[in-house]
Amino acid sequence: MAHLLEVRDLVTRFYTEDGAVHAVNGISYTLDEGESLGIVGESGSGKTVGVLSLMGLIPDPPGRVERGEVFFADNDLLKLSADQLRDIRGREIAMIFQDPMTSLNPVLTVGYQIAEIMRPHLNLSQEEITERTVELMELVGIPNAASRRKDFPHQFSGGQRQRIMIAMSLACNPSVLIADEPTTALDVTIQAQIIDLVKRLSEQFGMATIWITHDLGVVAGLVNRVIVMYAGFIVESASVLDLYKKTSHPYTLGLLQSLPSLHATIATDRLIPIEGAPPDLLQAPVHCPFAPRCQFAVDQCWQENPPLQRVASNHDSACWRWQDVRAATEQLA
Amino acid sequence: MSRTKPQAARGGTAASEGIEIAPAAGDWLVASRSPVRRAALRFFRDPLAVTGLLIMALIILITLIAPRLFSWEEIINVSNATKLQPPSAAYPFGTDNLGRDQLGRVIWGGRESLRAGYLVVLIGLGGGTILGLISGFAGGWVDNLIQRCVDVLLAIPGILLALSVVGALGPGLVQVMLAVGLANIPDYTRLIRGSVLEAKENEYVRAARVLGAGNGRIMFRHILPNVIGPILVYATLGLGIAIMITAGLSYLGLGAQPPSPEWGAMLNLGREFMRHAWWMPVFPGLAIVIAVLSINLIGDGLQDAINPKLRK
Repeated sequence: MAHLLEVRDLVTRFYTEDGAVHAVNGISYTLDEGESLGIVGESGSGKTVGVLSLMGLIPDPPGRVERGEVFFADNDLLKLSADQLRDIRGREIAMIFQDPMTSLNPVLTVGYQIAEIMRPHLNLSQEEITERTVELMELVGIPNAASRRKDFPHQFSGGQRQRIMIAMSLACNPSVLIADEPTTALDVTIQAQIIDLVKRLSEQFGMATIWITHDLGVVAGLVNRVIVMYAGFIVESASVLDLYKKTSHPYTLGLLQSLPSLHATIATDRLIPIEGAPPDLLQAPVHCPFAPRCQFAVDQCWQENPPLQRVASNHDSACWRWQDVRAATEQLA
Repeated sequence: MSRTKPQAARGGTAASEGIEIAPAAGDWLVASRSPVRRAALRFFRDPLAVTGLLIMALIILITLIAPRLFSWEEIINVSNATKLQPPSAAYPFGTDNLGRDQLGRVIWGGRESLRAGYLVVLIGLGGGTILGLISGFAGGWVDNLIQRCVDVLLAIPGILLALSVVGALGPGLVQVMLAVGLANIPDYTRLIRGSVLEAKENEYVRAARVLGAGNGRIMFRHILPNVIGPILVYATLGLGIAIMITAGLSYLGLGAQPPSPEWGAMLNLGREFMRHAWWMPVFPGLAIVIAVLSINLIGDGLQDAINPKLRK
């Protein structure tokens, strides 16, 4: 069965003055056509570096993709030339960013910035490009698109700017859309609108989406499958429902317990934080990276880093004691 | 040469309060336009900057129509009958030791001096922009190579560099322009590299790259317009300095050669006759002062217009 995107054993490191930062340590996952995948983890867990690596966008130096294969449309993206990669970026794989305030160029009109994406990728005349620019702006819900095309980013609100970023990423009908925490910088009412918009448009155009977020609440109603990352490793990968009901990694459990809930189904009254801090990525991991913060940790966890293993159909976990974690989850529920 | 501050134009405290409010209200009004137009509006609200611009425009106009006012022969032909005459109705700026009309020579000299200044800045700005963009954007060994070359150039005093170029190519205005222009490149390179280093970290650069833009497009379309503002200010102020340096080198006899009426060369000629014919050095000197002053006024106005936060 062919996947739309298949990442195998991707390793990315940053070489700094203090030593090598192990940002991504051999992650593998797949993405099918039209599927939506959530990548969840705290800051510095390698979520963003992971996807930037597969698009060849890690600044080198200091970063380097050390190992791995990324299959997309029969090509290994990591082996493509810079020109070939550039042709895929924007046309096949597009991305929207965290902060719409800074991801638009302040000195260029928004219409120009949308049109700019189409020029190298699509064979369209100037009139067709203008027409499509207006169409795209209307599609993402900018009123008076025809005249606002000539406005500058500072004349739009944060939510509108994110809509324009979305219009830019949709310009060439990509097959994969990567949304890197697209709502963190927006206030809550706008967040819902933006999430809704991306969801609706990706369904309408049959785009596969990768949602990168640190908010398990956001991905719950949004994606089919969730990957949980910690310290550059995938620690758990499951369908959304399994992740919530049959949690098999203590880190995921910790994330779920620290999530505020209106119904308080998982925890009782108080939120339970994950004690401690994320590990120093300068140290090459020998034991389980989560062991220092883990309430389930046993001697084996300090001796051997658990590999990602199948614990149920379509459910992987990297924990020696996943059965105990699952039992604890079921007890809590 | 000193940078004139807008305070000079503001009267007492009562008047300055009125002025303080006006730009603020104006800024709100123009908030819905392009950055260039907003800067232009701020520029034209600054009376000193507009004065500078008007003087510069007048100087350029006069130098452009110079051939209609005086023919080239008129200003280089030597005449014993009219030598060293003080300013009068017939010769408003007097005549020099060779009987040539100083007014005509100052006007024609403006053509030489201004052209030299503009070319010097153009060489420095053009070379510096390209080198600085590449250096800051590429980073790594490219950056290192360019910056070490810049270090070497910066270690050579500008005058010395000009002297050696003139020494190699012989004296003349073109050689001096080349030399001073080249000596300017390191400054612009450094300045632009710094701004590029800052600008390339912006999210919109990453966004452009993710959406398929190439290096050239990112450098010239996305980064350059964001860094060019402060550099234009520097270039404008640099124009005044360039005019003075070329005049200075001509004064030393390295630049414009007789009978060319370059301002610095005229000043040099007038030096010998200063005691008997004060008008000989004074008028070309005044021309230099007025031209450089107007350019500095424009530069200060641009500075305030492009970066209004710096305004007091």
